[in-house]
Amino acid sequence: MDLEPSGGEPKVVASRGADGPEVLARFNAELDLVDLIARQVTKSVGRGVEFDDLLSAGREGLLDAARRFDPAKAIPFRAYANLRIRGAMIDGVRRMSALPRRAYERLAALAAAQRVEEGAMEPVFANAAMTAGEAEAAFTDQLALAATACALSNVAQLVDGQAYAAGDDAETPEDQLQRAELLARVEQVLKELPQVREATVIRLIYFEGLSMEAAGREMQLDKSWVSRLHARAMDRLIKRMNKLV
Amino acid sequence: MAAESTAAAVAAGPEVSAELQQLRDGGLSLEEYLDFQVDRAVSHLRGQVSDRRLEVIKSVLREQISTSPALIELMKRAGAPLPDVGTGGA
Repeated sequence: MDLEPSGGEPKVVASRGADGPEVLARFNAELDLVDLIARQVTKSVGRGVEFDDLLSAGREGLLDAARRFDPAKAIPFRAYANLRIRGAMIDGVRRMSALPRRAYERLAALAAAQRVEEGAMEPVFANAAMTAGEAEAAFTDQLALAATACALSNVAQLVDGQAYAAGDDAETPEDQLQRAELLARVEQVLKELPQVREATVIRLIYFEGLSMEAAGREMQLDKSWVSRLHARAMDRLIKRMNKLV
Repeated sequence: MAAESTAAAVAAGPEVSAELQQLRDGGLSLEEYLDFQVDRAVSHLRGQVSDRRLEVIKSVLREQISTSPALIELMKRAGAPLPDVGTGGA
């Protein structure tokens, strides 16, 4: 399957190899999501990101989603594609060099929120009997977890293990101080977690800037297990932080 | 009719927030509901990150949830207005 070159109508123009008609149909049906999410990512990350680059990465993400989608799973394709498209855009921006520090900061927060949403998605769709109240509680918990992940995404100033690019928008003394204080508080909570593996997951992802997959490889655990450990550890962190406010 | 109303209320669940109920009733817009949710989500971070950082987190979350499948699913289950983006089904 080929995508028409950038600038043209972004639809699948040829099909070859192993891609079947269902892949093509899925791709073309959800193309509007690419533009929608590109606008959202542009707004979230801010300056330094080229819209056309996001569209290109997003189409690749959509194509990948169309190929990998498993109809037997509870998640509808549009929801699945939403995650893959945004993930592909985040990865695409990460590969760009010389992003301003604040753009990296926002990108790291966006990636952290995305990580949480990926982990939270399946339970919501898998439980068809979930009431509105239960769905709202799950949504509220997911947001609190994402907020915490966003906050931690900046403590080590790393993205995929690499330091932020130097820029002209240096961190303010207030930000530096509060980041150091947050780091110290989180370190303290991690020491008190009942499972060493929960603390390890948090350290690998937020202090060493690894992706969930990379953290899993490091710990010799699969991604879903890492995701569960991450959610549990973050939940404990939120509860501890709530006591501090 | 009364029995149907009661059954519908039970099915929707009695534990939805007052804000979601207001959204259902048209007393709150979706934008206002999402602002409320984001404010609540960051409440444990107040005083722990700088004000500037908190605004970054809020704006990233706010943007992200506007197209979140989890939000769309919640709105469907709550019988509340769907966001006008990304609402397609399977």
